[in-house]
Amino acid sequence: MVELIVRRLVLGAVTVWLVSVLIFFGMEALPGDACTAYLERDAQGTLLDNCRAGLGLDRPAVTRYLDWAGNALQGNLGVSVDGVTPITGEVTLRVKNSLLLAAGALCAGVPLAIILGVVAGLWRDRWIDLVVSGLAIFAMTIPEFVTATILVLIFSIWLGWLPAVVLTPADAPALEFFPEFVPAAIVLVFVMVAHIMRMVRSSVIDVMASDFVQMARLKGVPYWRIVFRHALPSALLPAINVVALTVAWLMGGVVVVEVVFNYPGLGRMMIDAISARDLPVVQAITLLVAAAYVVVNLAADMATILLNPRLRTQGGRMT
Amino acid sequence: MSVTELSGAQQPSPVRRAMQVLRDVARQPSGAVGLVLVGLHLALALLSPLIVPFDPMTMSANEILAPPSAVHWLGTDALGRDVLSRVLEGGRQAILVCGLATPLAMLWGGLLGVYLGLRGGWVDEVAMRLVDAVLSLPGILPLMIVVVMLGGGAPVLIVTLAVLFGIPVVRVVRAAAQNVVSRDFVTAARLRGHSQGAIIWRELLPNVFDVLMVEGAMRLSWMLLSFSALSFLGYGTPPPTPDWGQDVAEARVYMSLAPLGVLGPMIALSSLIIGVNLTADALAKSLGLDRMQRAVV
Amino acid sequence: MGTQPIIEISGLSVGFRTRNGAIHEILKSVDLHVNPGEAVGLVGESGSGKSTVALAAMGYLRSGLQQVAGQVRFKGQDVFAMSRAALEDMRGGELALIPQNAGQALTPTMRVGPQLAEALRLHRGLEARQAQDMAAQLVEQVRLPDPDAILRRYPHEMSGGQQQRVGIAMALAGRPKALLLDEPVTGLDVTTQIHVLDLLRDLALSEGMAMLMVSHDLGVIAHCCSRVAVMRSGEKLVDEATASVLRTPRHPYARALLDATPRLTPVSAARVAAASAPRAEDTRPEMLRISDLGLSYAKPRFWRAGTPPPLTVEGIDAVLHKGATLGLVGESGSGKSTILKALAGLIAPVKGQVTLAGGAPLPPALHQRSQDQLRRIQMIFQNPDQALNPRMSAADILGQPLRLYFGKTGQAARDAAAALLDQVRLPAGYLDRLPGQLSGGEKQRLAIARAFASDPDIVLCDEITSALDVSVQATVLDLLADLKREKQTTYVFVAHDLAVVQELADQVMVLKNGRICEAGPVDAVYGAPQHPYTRALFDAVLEPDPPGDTGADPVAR
Repeated sequence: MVELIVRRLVLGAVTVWLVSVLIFFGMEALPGDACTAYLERDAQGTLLDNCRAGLGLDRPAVTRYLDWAGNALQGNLGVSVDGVTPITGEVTLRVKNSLLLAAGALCAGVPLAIILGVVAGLWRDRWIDLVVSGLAIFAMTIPEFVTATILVLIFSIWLGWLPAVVLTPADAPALEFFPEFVPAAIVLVFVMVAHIMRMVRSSVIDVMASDFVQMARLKGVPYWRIVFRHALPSALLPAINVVALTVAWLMGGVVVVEVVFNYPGLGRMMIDAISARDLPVVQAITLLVAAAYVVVNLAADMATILLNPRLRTQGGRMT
Repeated sequence: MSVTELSGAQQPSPVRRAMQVLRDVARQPSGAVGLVLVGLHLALALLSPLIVPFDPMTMSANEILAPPSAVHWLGTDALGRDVLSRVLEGGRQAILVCGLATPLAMLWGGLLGVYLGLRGGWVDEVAMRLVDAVLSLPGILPLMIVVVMLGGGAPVLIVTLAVLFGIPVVRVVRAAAQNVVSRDFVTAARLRGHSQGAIIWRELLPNVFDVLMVEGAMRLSWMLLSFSALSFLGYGTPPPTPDWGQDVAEARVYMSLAPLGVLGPMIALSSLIIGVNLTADALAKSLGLDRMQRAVV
Repeated sequence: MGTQPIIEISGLSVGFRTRNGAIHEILKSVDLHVNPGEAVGLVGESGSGKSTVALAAMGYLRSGLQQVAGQVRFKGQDVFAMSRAALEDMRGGELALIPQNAGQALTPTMRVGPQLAEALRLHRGLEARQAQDMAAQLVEQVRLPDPDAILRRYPHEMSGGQQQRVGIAMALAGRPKALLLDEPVTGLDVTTQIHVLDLLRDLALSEGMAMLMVSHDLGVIAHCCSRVAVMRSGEKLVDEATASVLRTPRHPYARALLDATPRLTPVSAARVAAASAPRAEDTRPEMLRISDLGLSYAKPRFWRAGTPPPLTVEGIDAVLHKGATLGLVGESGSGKSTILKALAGLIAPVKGQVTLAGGAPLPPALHQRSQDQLRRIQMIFQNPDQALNPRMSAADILGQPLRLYFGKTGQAARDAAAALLDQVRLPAGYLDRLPGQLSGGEKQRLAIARAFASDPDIVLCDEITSALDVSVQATVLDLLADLKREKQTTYVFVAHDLAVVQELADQVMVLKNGRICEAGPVDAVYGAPQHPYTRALFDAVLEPDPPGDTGADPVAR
């Protein structure tokens, strides 16, 4: 088991390193640099030179990469393209807000998704499964901005129950977001539940059809005991990884939802940086989110290894 | 056993098999609905310029945000353009871009995936780490960066989408290919000394083709989602051209005055993506691949 | 008799609904009864419905199946009319099942102890503490060493034989009056198999349990059961005392089944002597020489560069002349298939070498071998479903080697393919069929035809009949023998079934843990086994002989 865990950790570290290389040199490969992008038409003469000198863009790419990666390792994400604003402070604030939204969505979504998935799987092809699975297809396929717009239309404009956008400033204490972030969280829950529920459902169906569940029936174990004691521990293991993917997605991919509700999270910061062509900020956020993705997945792998007796008790490989 | 199996000594032909699969898809309720929706949108994309009541780009200063009427069935938008016409034409760009990018993504992703599945070893290991790295990048961000730096014309979008969405295809097809490689008929071919190309072409590709098709259909639906999000954020089709995502973003501001301005394009967009998704689900079911675990990427 | 049967199946028909609404019956009016304390065997080939009968005895039908007619009674009660509570009470209580593959049938996320305790609590109403003590007793009863350690293990931490014993302990938990056994020893090694069967027989005797044992293997049934029922495609054909079925089978199908079952043929002392005597130099040309072969699965690691890897297989020597057949026998893990893979070039040897037809040693890795070297060694695989590309027609499958080695395409390839099909006794009309349109035996014939399409000198056979029914196995073995006679091909034949090897091979190598135990002419090794392990292997063979005759050494007789 130790070898397995070490292997995972090393692979995770390699992935993060590759991501940093990809981000840095990928942007390097695109035409223009942070200064030409930022200054646009004014990008010439001393203005450009000053900007480049300010950001240290006049040094060779490899040196700049090592500098950037080294600083990032110590928690310093550099400065914004204006050459003065430190990125780390603002990013920390936004991460906190995004985590708040993610935590809210997760707390509501994961239990709901698991219950719905188990119910749909146990009553496969009955009306409850058809309803839940059908809704899940809708929730998965309808774009987030559509769901969000519909919510706003119904609850904010027609019923007037909820605010249409979040007006709280980014540095407000967590409690102040409370009523305002509900619609945004609902949209996230909607999409998230669909994915996790489908995974849980198919896993439950597979396990309920397995030899050991059939055997448990044939040795007279009562149905609900089979479900909870024999089937669910195996059926819910794969859900851990899907939940992890969802968490990763919540941390970085919710740009659209944050924009729609004007929520001051990481996604909004990212899109603002992109519109402002503030490449250092874009790089920093990308690296952060990618690292979070790797860490969350790693955590899920670890949890699976610890919870799955097959992996825990021998050096077996995960398939 | 399986009732759908070819019976008798029929000459197996790819065309006949494709027809059979299509029939199986259409026979399922979800597949039938999906095919109808997709067909409808394809027809609209081809024919809409001929049937729209107004030019979707003509502005009219005295008909701003008009309510639905006999002339403008869905009313007009903030620039006085006919909403119905814009809805009817608003999918052309998405269908063109995603329709071309999907086969490209399947082609390169499929070929590379099969090659890695057969090749194994360090090449495979390195490639998979790279795939993991790219997949860990947040959502549509790489897409947005490229569009910001290179501009958002259709060719740029097609290539970028094809590259980005080919990566999960690599992963899925590689796993399917590994599964085939472990079977004895591939071992037999290797023992005979066939070249790698011959093994890929004759033994592997025919056996991962089903997986590739299902994956392609799924990717198309994800691609449409990403494309619409991109244009909603203002990085898609350049402005006057009608585009659902962008029209929703513009009409949102006036949504309390003219809700049809957002509802129209939203319904059109959602019905297309749902159609593609239902078809993909039905396709997976009729090819017996619905138990396959799909990654949420 | 006077006693009421404990299990009574009468006129049972079971079927599934096809797409056009008709019912397709897979059991047709089956009658079967088991008396208290009686052991009844149920044999048949795949698709005969024997497992469905056994599960129906518990009131269980696989999903999609429905009861069409007839009844199943356990202790006089109609099991299909029982309430859920009554069913749960009966299953695992008075009527217990021992599954085919206990490894799959035990819950992987629960330790053995709690699983046994659960059964004890449900069916004996024991408290948690008592149940634990009782579980340890059960584990002892199935002769597993160190019960406390076993109870703390997860199913995957035990060997196949141990898992099967835990499965038996689980069945005993409810103090059953009757046991249903679904292929209880299939998949176990022969030496383990006989121990498990003896355990079952002893337990049935001491506890007075009735048994209904499903098996495809007449030898297993003969060893345990006093009465046997034979099934074919959902119908019961024979139901008689085991001894009379085995001695004087009256039903033609029972006779055919018995004839097709491979048996060890006694070797006369004269032949043993002839085989053991030093013989004159073999005048046939030498085809294959294996010298001091050593194989390892351990991957070379740079941090262990100095130390040689542990050898999975070591010290294998053999010389094969043209037209000879070498049989490799041994239990799972003995390394017999590994040796075959090395000969084929799939594993590069770490020691020793393989020489083809007196030439230079074969390069160890596949890609270093020349096309001609590759052509001359062909392999036939265990499972024909895996060995044929499901998307290629028979003509294409045979066309691959024909084009690669002989440049045949188009009509020439098609004619050659038709000729090959004819050699394996398949009609030329099969050229355009896909593997999915062939039966198991036909697929294996096609695979054989593909191997012979290369006109090979050496054919490697890896358990090629173990996935087939006995009647099909017999025809495939005949085919191989005929091809060998016609073409003077040299075979290396891997099998776990000693009788099959005796039928086809003239030299045999007995392997254990990757080392040779005993090797030599088949008559010498089979007639007078020297090594204790070889003798243990022979003793464990279950022959379909009438009960009472077993126990004696089948070979020495």
